[in-house]
Amino acid sequence: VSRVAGAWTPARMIRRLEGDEALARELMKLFLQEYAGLLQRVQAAVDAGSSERVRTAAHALKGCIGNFTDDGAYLTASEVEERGTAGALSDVPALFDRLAVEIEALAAQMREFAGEP
Amino acid sequence: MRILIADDDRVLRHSLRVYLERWDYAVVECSDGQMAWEMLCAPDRPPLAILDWNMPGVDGPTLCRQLRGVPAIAAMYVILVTGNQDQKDVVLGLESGADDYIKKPFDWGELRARLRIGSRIVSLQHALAARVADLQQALADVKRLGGLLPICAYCKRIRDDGDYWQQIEHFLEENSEAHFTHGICPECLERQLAELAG
Repeated sequence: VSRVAGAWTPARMIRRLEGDEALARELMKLFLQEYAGLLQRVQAAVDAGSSERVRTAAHALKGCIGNFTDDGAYLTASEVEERGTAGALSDVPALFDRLAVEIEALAAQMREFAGEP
Repeated sequence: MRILIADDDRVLRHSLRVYLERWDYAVVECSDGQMAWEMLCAPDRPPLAILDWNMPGVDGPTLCRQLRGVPAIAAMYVILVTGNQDQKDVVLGLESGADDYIKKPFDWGELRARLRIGSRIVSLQHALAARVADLQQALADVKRLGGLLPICAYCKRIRDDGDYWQQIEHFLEENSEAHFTHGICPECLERQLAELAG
């Protein structure tokens, strides 16, 4: 089975990539380069109070996380996207805070696996 | 076979590129809808495209509608991809003109199978287009005789469009692919020999 399923672990990811650890490392490296900018876009959209921008920024971040897991940060990013679609941003700042914690935890796991500081 | 990947997700583009090249596709890629449109319209455009639904610039369904409206690129095979999980999005995507639809995250085996279908259809389309071009050329090469031909009841010459009475073999050679070789039939041979003998 190559679908993303559940919490992210390096082993699960490598299995999903049919044992290609080198590719897994490349994808993690790209994620670590990308996620902060994507998160910042969500933050800027939330700060601007723009539902459409929240929707598109959260969707992009969700897609990027979705390459690794369909749990945790992915689910929270989905919730933020849904709020943007519905134009209901009242609890989005709290969701964003949770998202930031979850995505940093994911990134920390990747850094640990990659042997990065 | 060449294939375009249009997606704003760098991680996804990279993994797609690696897998597609592993499956012997030649990959070109871009990160937004406007660039995708330019690549789809270029003379060296690939015949197959994987388009993301949500992209900056022009989204995937809009790209599908646009390209179906341009005869020169309307036959392109398009797989629309999205993280939207709603079934009604599948219908919307296909109604926009996509040939196929796949949800993210991919199952690589499923994607490979769907790409095989796309490749097969593209190959069939190309073979069909080549056959049609051959037939059109053949049709253009064939000169066709038809309608009423005025022919002299005595000498059998035919009157052409220029009101000139031509030998029948000249007329046929000019108006068909037929060519004549001259010989003599047994009856005429007998008659000619009788005339020569006096």
